Amino acid sequence: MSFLTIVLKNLLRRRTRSLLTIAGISIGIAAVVALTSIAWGFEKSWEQAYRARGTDLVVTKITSQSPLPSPFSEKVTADLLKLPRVKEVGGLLTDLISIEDAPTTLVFGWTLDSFLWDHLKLVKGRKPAGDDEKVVVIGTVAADMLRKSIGAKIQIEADEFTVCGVFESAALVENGAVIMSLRQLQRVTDNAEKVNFLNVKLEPGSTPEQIESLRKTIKERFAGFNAFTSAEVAQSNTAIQAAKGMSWATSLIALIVGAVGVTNTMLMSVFERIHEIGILLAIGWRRSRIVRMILYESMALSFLGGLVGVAIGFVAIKVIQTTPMIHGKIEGEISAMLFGLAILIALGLGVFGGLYPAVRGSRLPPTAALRYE
Amino acid sequence: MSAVLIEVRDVQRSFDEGRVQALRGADFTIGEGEFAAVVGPSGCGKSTLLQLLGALDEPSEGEIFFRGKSLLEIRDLCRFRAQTIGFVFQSFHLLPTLTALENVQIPMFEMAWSGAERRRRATELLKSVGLGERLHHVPPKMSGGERQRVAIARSLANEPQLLLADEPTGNLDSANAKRVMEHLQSIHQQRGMTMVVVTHDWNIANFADRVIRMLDGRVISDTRT
Repeated sequence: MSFLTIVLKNLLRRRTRSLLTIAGISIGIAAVVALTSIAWGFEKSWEQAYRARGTDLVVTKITSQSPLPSPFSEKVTADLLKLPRVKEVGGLLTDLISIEDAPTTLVFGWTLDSFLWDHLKLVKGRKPAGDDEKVVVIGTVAADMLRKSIGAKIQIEADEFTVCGVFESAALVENGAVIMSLRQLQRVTDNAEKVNFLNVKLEPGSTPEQIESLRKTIKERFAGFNAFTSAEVAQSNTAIQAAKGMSWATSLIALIVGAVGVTNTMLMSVFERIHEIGILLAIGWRRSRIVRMILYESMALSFLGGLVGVAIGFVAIKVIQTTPMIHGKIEGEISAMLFGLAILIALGLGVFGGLYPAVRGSRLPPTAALRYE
Repeated sequence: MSAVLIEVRDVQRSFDEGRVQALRGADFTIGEGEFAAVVGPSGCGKSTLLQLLGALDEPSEGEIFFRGKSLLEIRDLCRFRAQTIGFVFQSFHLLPTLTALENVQIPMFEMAWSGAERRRRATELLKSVGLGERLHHVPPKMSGGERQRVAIARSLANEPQLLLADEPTGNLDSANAKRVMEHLQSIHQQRGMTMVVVTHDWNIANFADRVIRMLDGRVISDTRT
């Protein structure tokens, strides 16, 4: 018989209670998995968008870290092009607009000759031919969502546009978007000659050191502006930060409930076994072994709760992704790291929830515990 | 005269802030290899004395020495109990979810023995008390006599130097009581193990070589048979 056999047999004595505890923990862990996955996926989808466009650096106003920073003059483009190793600068304006009866949709305005268009794969139709043309291209997910195809009319704010193309992008966030010429969006949103992002493409073969050097130069020469790499711009985005913060806050509440559940179960278990703990102490078990036994029990419950929670969380991610608000815009980040983190959190819950009952159980005086019935 | 294993020096034990005097002063020694019985009516302090001898409790006054060393000086009393003392209780005190074989292995976790070694020793001990066929039975499926024999096997698990039995036949019928006492006597004779049995029953006390009588928390006589 191993030490773990004793732990397992103790858990199996109260099967229903053990199962309910596992269920409680699994719900907490499922919340962690699902919410974190969506938050990480949100971050990743933005990062993907910049990577897919071939953007090396994104220039925005320092105070503008939300996904939709306040617009600034597009004249900065010309100054950026004078910097060493800068090959192209694509100015873009982005806004969130409620289109017809669909949920809020991302609308991009891109300069027509910019490299930003290069990564889009047109499934049908064409891209806008000129700045004055009141046409848009829409992503495949947006086409489904808005139920529009080539030639369809689409109402954006007070203007009516015609869909001239449907595209696919490697960036999920773009697939759910509507894109038009920069001039048209500037007009629609009343932001003449303004952009809120400048996507900078460097000469091929630029090293990370050169990118870093350019970033410093931009910060020094352009007061009030900052330059981010694709990953950083996603990380520093306040909306993404808020989403991550919300996911952690919600997860934390779920975890606290889980920890209270484990503590309650283990305390009940200790109270029920005071007499037995007295026997173990009387026949020579060290107090540290009693602590270990109770901690292992709570960790075993948490570990099993973690495994079940990961499975439920996985299913929850798949379900959440089908909802209209999320579908096609964010893909939950599912990775071994996330699942590993969830199991570690579950084990942490076990330690946290089991520690007090374990210490309390181990401190019982053997004679008093033996008398307890 | 054998070497002194335990010396009880003016030991007193009170509870409830001194309002209850369970032990009012005990002075005696127990030699290596002795089989002593502590006899007295219920409430005379004999179980309290046994708990003090087994380092389960501490005296309010006085000291107990084991091989000349005060129990108060022993820092790790759990380890001391595990390696030195075997207990047999009136209510058996077995773990109900574990089999007989597993119950006997419980104290062995404190020894540096492998799982296979623990299992081998536990099997041997259970066979020695006539339970070779009941290894995988759990206590609720065993008779009182069988449970007490499992408890005896468990008390011998770590080859203790002292075996303390608190009313070991208190929950048994006379036939089983006799059988349990014969087992204890046989262990004493074969292993030369020091034993102290607490009982209110003179028939049980008569199995011992020495009888210490107690009344109202005091030793009133100490005779060798």
